Amino acid sequence: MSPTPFWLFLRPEAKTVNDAAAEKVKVRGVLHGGVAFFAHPFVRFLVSRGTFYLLAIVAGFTMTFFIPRLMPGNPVDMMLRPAQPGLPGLAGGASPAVGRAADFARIRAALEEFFGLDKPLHQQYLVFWQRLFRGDLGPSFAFSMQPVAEIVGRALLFTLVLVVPVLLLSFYLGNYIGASAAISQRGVSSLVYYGSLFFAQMPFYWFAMILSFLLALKAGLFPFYGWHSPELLPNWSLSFLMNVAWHYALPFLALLIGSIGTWTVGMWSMMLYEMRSDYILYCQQLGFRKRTLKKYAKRNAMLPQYTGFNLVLSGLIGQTVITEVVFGWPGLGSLGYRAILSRDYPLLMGTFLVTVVVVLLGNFLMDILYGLIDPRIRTGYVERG
Amino acid sequence: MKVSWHVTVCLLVLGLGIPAMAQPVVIPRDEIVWAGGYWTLPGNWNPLGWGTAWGTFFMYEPLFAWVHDKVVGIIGESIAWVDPWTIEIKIRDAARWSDGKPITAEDVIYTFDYLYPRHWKNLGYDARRERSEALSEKVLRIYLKKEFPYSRVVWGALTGGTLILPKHIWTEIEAVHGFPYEWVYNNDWRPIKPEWRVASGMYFPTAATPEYEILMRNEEWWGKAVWGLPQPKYLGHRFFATNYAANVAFERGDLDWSGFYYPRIWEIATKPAGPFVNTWTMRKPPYFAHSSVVEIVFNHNIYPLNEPWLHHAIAYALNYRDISIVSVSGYVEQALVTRISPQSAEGAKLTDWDIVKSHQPYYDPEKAIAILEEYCFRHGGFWYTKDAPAVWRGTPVEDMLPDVPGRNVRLGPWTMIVPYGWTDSMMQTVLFQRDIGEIGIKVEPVFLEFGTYTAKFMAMDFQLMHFCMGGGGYDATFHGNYSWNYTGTPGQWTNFSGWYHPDFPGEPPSAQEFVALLDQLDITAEGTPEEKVLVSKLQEILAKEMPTLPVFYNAYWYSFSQMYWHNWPTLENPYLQPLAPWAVANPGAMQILVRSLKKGAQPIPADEYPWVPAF
Repeated sequence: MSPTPFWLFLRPEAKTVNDAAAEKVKVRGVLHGGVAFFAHPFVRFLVSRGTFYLLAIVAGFTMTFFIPRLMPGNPVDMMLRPAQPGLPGLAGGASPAVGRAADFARIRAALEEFFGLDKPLHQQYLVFWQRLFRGDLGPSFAFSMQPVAEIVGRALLFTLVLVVPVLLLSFYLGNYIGASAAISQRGVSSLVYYGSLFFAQMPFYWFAMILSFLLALKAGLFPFYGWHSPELLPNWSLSFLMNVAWHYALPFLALLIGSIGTWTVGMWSMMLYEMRSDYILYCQQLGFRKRTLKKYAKRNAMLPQYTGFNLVLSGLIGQTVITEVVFGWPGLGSLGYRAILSRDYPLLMGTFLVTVVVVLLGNFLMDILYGLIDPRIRTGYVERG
Repeated sequence: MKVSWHVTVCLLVLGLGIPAMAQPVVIPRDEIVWAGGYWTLPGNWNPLGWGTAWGTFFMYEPLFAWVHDKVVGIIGESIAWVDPWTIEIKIRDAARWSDGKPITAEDVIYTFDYLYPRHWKNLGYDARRERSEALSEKVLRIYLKKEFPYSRVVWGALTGGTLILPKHIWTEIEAVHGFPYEWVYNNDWRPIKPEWRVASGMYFPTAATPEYEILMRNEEWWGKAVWGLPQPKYLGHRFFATNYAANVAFERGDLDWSGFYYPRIWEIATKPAGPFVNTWTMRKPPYFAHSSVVEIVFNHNIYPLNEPWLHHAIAYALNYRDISIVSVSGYVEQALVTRISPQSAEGAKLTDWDIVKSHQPYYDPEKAIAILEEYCFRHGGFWYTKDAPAVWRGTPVEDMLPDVPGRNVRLGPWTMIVPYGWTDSMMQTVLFQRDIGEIGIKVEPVFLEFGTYTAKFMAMDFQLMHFCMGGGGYDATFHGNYSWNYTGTPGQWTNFSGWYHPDFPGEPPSAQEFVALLDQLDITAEGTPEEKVLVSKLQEILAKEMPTLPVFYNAYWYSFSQMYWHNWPTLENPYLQPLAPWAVANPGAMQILVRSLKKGAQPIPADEYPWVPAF
């Protein structure tokens, strides 16, 4: 008898396809249902992976707390940098020794107290977690004391708008091109395949700059910089949305073209392997149509590709960071870049935190999806259980 | 199937229909002046906070502006010494806040005496002020302490860039937000209580994203009656992640007022905006005016980096012209040994040219070696000092060659720190290494992330440093510049070389004398013979001691495009000094510039003003 699908435990009262399991739940009650729920191999897998990712997040957050603090220098000193020293009447300008040292020390101490930097490191760490649970990442220095959570939230949206469509479309196109090239071994599909490989091998920042130079600067087909023309103020009008799409196109293309090759090469080799496997050769002998054979082979060749999602997602986040800076797309990459340039430690921490969460959450979802998609993996959970 | 079809149609209608109905908000290009180059991102229009947004300097106004060497009224009508300890200020009768209330003497006193002393602004002002008094609604007096007659610090603060805030609003803001509201209150113009949206300036914020901020003209501006409304209806500031992106925008005419470095600017002629682009010098080298001093800072806590003969030897080793061409397209010119640019009003008036003539270094490696031979000898490929003090600033100077008579300390190898990413500075440091190496002293450039670089010089943890920060050029004063660079406590964004050190006041005596003279200059009336004598003495000490080596006057990155707006200040139209969009130390002057702009394209006649390549 096949084991109870795990989702049935989510609705123990349901009359289900598996009468035996439903009956069992009915008899032993909700408590037992709960125990059984957690005893299910897939749920155990989820808990185990979830715990791993939770620990990874804690470790990631801890690192983002300590790394800026281990860097030399004090953010308060950066804040106290006068705007244009040496000029009449300005901060630090016409101010010889009289009154200056005391003023500096007083302001510095007040700011350190305000930002909690006067406390021992372990206390700062505790405060960091307390604030985190309240969704408070502190104020940004570069963005003039605006809450970091708000700034990062906005940037995250811009990054996801780039990453998610690129991930999905590159997956589809890459696999399609890889499969077609593997089957035909010549012609346009092969050309496209080798082309995608070529683009995938290029250093990403360089490729983005080349695209920007050729298509925006030279050909004038796309705007060079930003997410909309500054003459158009953001609203929901069609012309504004079209303008955003026009600005979106180039960073999107840069990421897409660079990402397709990653999928293509995997699919190409897997298809070659599958097409030479026994079951395909047997079907060939039986006189199956080529189209049918391709369909069977593709289905099996696809499975390992799903495992690539994790890697590609992590890589894509890194590539997006660079692409955003090149094209002035206001996502996490541009934000992190600005945070580094302006020594905005809270913002830097916020950007790291969100990036860590996105990557780990993405990986976690991929793990779950992979379990659902691939019956062998699902069976593996059960067998381990 | 039918249901999903209907849902799809509904979504399409909603997705396309609503945007189609919404009207785009377009700002006509010829209605807006686009500036770029200021570094703080928008969002905080609080002049007291850290990271004040650019627009703040147009929302609020100072009492006065500096135009060349003259004090010009903005909110203030006049300022004068009543006696050596009393300054009287008259505020313009027309000056009003946007809520209609008059700008009063109480507002000025509140700003200067209550708000600013709590901040890292106008340092030293409070220590010199005895009290302030409002004589009437529009007249106030500032009384100085007896030991600070004619204080330049106080005069500089009152005539400089301090933005005046409305007392009746900011006392309310403080009551709601509490201390330290100045640091956390964003003064966000759009969502705050309408009754708090009170300022006096000619522009107010209307839109802001992390990429730009746009201000809209205040049609009810009080200055309309005095000067008329500025022609640009909008004023915008754009942010670019890279210099390259900013320069492309400038080339295309997307930026009118640029404060960015543009390499080989004469090559912009072939770009779309090329016919409209100009610089301060009307397209002739060096294109830009003088700005802050690029200098080599020696750590005076380390022997023999404190020795004037070493500074002079290095000064004669540098090939100034070559370094300028290679690192910054030939824009920068060698700095005077007295530091202050002769282009500044004070520099032109008070530079002692006799001192310059007798002490100004130039590229002469043989002379550099001759200086070294006087104080050092060569051994095993290195220079060693012929003698050295037993102890320098509390640290024993160890004998490095005990077999040679005397105390001998090796010159180098030393490191020279420079911020990573400041490409012109990095290249200059590499060229310093080359030229100093030519006279037999090894120097290794160390490129540091800016935070690390800052931490190093705040802790005096360096040997040599490439330094290029701080005001200069047209606005520089001897007192302001010298006090910033050579007095105070190292580690407090001042006195970077530690030449004068409060812990070792007698080492060297020249530094002690320099600081005493500077304090004397603070309380010496301007334009007097005493002032000239004092400034000359200060210059002489600097020229002889050379505590830091002024290498170049950095270029003042002011360039503009007349594609949409004209009447920018230039050497031929000098109603203002060159003024970059980051000249926030002098907001009154920036306001004068914007209100002087005229609408309309005006190409620069290429036959009359051709681009002249620097090399």
